[in-house]
Amino acid sequence: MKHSVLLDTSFFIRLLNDEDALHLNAVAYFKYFLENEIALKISTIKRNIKKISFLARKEI
Amino acid sequence: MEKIGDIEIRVVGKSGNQSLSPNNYDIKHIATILQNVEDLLYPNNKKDRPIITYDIQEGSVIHLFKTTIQTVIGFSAVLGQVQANESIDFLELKTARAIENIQNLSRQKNYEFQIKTSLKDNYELTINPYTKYFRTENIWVEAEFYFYGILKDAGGKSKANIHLDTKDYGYLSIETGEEFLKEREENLLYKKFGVRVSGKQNIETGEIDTKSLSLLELIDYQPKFDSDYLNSLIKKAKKSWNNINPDEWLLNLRGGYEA
Repeated sequence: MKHSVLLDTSFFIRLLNDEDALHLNAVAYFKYFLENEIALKISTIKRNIKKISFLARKEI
Repeated sequence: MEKIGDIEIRVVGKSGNQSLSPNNYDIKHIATILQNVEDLLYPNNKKDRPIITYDIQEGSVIHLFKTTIQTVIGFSAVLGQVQANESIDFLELKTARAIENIQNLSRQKNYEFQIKTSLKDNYELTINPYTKYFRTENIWVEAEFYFYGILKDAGGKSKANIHLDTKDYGYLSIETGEEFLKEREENLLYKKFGVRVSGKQNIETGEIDTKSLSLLELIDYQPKFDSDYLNSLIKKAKKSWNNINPDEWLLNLRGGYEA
């Protein structure tokens, strides 16, 4: 079976900032996924839903 | 119980002034039936399918197929359901398209196709110029897809296309237009690519019509760890995170999950 992982916002923040405390962990995971042909997936609606729910909470 | 069953497709009609018989039935129509019967019986996995044998008989024209009884039982159920619902929308794409092709042939030539299996005495499905075994268009909508695989063919005489060998969807033919291929200077063959394509998708089942794909973008897809490339992205992205505490930012974005 082909495996895949769903990446969240936090992963990208850590991966793309080499001064982040978790940067090396994120890079190691990224490398492992690519070397083992694990498909990387990102939700294209998740962030907006969270934003909406966050704004809704603020309104209340 | 026998292990082999029969499927009979009887064609009633005229060739000029004469009633149809194997003597005046064109091989073109035989070829159409043979191709569609394979899709009707084994829509998937043609490579490993059991054998189907064929015979043509008088009366007007009778196409007789023999294959495993298990397949015949399944096919008989499909025929019954199509006849009862008077619809082919519930069928898998290849099966639906095969019935549609027979319906088209029936309208073009004014033929009636009477289909039955050895399980029943009566005809289980009749297709004639008055029946309407066509898919309802509106359950197929335009959508965009990404596929990844090795490009194994490019070109085509009348329809320019590329063939992409994918793990998930098999061998896909994707229309490109001649211009696209003409402009490519590099050799595309036997390399890994991703493609962004448009095509039709069934809104109820999610099934993709693989005959409707046309290319929107060819993506140079090299899934290898490339530290230089990653570092160049880090250099670009890092500036945006100056003076931002990611933990606080994420917490703020996500809010709390407590009820």
